[in-house]
Amino acid sequence: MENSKIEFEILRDILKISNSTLNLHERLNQVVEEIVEKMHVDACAIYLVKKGGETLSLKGAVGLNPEMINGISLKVGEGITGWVAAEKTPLAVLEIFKDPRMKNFPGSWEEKYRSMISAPILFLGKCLGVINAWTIEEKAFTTDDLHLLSSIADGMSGSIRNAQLYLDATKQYEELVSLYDISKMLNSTLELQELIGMVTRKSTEFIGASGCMLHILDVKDNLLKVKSMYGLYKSPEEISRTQLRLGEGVAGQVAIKAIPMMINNLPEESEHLLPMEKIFSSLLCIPMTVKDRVIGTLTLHDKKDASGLLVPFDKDDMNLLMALASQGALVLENAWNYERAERLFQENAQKANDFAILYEISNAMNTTMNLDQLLKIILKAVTFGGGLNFNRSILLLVNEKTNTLQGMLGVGPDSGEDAFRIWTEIGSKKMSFKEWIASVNASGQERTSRFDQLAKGIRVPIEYGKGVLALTVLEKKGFNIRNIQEDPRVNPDVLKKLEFESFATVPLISQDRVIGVIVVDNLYNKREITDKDLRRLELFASQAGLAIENAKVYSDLEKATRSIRELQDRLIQSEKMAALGEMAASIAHEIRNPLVSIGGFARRLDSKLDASNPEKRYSRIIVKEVGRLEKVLQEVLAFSRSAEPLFSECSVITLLEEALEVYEESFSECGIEVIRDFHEGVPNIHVDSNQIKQVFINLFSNAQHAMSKGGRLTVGCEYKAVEGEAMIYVSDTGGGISEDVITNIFNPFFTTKHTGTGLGLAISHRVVDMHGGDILVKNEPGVGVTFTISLPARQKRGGISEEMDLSAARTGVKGKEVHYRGQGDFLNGMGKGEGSESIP
Amino acid sequence: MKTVLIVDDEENIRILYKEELADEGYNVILASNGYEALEVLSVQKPDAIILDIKMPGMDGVNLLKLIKERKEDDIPVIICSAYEEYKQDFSLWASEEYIVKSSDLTKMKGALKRILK
Ligand SMILES: Nc1ncnc2c1ncn2[C@@H]1O[C@H](COP(=O)(O)OP(=O)(O)OP(=O)(O)O)[C@@H](O)[C@H]1O
Ligand SMILES: [Mg+2]
Repeated sequence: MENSKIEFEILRDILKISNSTLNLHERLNQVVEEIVEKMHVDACAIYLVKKGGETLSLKGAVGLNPEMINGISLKVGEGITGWVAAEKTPLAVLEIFKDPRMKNFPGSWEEKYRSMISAPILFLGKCLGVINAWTIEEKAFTTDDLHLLSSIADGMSGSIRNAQLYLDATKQYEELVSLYDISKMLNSTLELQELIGMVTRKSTEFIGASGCMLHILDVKDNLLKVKSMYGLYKSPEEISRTQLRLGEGVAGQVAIKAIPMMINNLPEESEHLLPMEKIFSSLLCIPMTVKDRVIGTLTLHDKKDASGLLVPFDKDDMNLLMALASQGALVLENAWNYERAERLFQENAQKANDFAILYEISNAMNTTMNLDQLLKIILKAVTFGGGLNFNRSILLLVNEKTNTLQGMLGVGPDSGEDAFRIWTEIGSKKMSFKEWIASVNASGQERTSRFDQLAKGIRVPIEYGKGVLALTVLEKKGFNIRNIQEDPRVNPDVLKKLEFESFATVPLISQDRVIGVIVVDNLYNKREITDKDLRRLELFASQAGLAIENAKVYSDLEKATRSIRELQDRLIQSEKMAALGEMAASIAHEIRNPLVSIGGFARRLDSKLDASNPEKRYSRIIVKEVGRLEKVLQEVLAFSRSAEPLFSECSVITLLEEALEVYEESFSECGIEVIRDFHEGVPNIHVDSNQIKQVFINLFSNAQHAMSKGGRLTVGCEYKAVEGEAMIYVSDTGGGISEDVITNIFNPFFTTKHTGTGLGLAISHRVVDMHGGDILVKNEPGVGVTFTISLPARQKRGGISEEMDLSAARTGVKGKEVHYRGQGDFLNGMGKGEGSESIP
Repeated sequence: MKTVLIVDDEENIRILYKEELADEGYNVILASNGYEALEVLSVQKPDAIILDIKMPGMDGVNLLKLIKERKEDDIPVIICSAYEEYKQDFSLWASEEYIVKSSDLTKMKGALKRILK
């Protein structure tokens, strides 16, 4: 009994430490201190298994020389500690220096101690580390001690594992962030040489290589030419050969085959290699491709680790470099287009004005990474007076899932007067495209026009016979429709509402796929659309396609980063909860019996003692304190895994009323006004009524604590028919939660109260989660808190009645039926064993 | 006087129940596991049984099953366990009471009274 009390105390402390916000190192230190203090040993240390699983290093210790921390490392299998890690079995040793395991292992500093106890830290059968405790005097550790140390190890394993997962996730996250930064940077500059320099520099730094060389394939003579170099090239001879034929050297091979090459054991592996390449010890070469065409190669050499030692390239490096190269290639291609445009611009002075504007438009497009804004710029450009100069335009994008074209945006005046007003405005102010875009983006300037609304409503299946819009996608070319009535290709239904008379279409192409269509017309000034107009529109569309693709890559990347972060948060939360639940259940049950006898006898004593007897005070205290412990236990257990919900149809409002009733008195004592906001038509839903009521009670209890000097509690409930969810909210005026603790409130054992156990919200979170719902908190510091719970009306699986029929472990006794849900050992045992046949 | 059989593996708890129930005027017999309880049942028929679930040897579930099979003597059983998460399972199975162990025996006494009235 004595023992289990200490055990509970220690384990509870350890859980608190494990769930604290300290970093792993501090947590380990606190745990070893706790062990030294409570288990009466002289020293304690935790070793963690390093990545690779072969060595253990000392990570936290008390009673040992502090310099040893991080300094000591052992092989798994070596000495007593190594043995425990290898065998995954706890061990108590009475006389350390006589132990055969120490024979081949002069663990000099350990000789100071006489006895020790050691337990492995296991997670899903894998050894994460070892906890050791030593005494200077001889001490015979008991099986209880072994058991306790193992439980502590179990308690910590979850949090150690989490810390490791967290590190891994952070690393991945950082990689994504760098990729994202690079793509952002690449897309914001257009100086070709600068861009190429950036690609080589970033690749080198990113992978940790010693240098990088970028070859570009010159299509005129089919030679690979060095365009940029970065890093340590040893001699000028290395760069003297700046041109390679296809197939020559590593870069030549890669360019021909369009697949990456990774060579880590240079110079032994010397096939295909040029003399200059043999100077390096490792090479990683990646093709740069645009639309399946190789435009060049990127070659890294000699990767080094942080301490400057040569290390081999690996698969991850290859994937990262490929991601980088594809970004780089796209942008280079883009930049070439500009260079070409610029050259043209200079060559054709008479078209100077046109191109200047096109150039500006492209610039605007390529510096905009937000897809919506980009689409807007594209259409504005089409209708801008000095640019492409159409009256109205519509942009449609291909939805590949439904195989339809969907209207995204329409730009143009709603009426002739409107058109006149806008054009004179632009004309009189002599706005440049840049200024115009800026004025368009300034909020408030824009109201959605009727034309835009109509445009957004367009849906066309991409099939032959569905009109000219679909045809533009299918044939990958533009059409100039002179007369809408007489042209058989036009589907009159689609365009009639928009008052089109004659119009032109052009496909938006990116990476060889049609991603959308632009439609233009000149409704207001009736100017005829010429073939020259159409060619300019096509040129423009090819730029726009590229920009859209870039924006998509960018937003995908952004999404990926966000989702990885969310995933990581959720992972940590759920593992924490699961580990806690299991341990809590097993300890709590052990403690319940002794508590019943202590409390039971104290009650007997209390009833026998006369009120005047001074001992009566003592018995009172015991009864009260045991009562408190029992309440804690009940909460811990409610939190344990086994409490799976038992669903039945219930009225949430009735449950809310029942829970309110529990608090009715204390609410009125504290001067708390209760306001009910129950909407009509909330149906009965599938919940575990006890658990959900407990959730409400927990929220009310917190609200009452927060408003002990009065306030207003608003309890609301409504039904969201579309989502099929009941929404419950509980809102108080208790001053809210301070910002620095808000992220902890759902963590088990987190509390700011003297008498709280910190389980109320953790339990509520678990319960709602198991119902497939959500609990959210909206905090207004200084004002109050609103908790919102959503609960699905129907459970997808496992109402009790369904479980009854599906369950194999089902038996009848005396004509009645038993159901169990495979939780406790004893019930399981019965289900599988003799009890599984039916008893009439 | 009504006779109650108490089956629990913890000695202190047996003593506690016994003294409390004796004060209430019951005749109390004790057993520390399922086998002992069956021995008692082979020679006499108590009016009610208070049964723990997790016990070494024959546990409460198996004992309960055997008692329920012997239809001739329909003895009501109150389950009194440290586990509260199986309440539902048992209440569907047997009509009798399921009580979570607590130092406050009021609930247990109330259940006995209800069953034996
Ligand atoms: N309505 C609220 N207003 C202000 N703070 C709150 C509110 N609800 C919760 N908190 C904060 O969140 C903490 C955790 O709440 P939780 O219900 O989990 O534990 P507790 O109330 O401290 O203890 P227990 O509910 O287990 O007795 C509280 O200690 C309190 O600081
Ligand atoms: Mg609370």
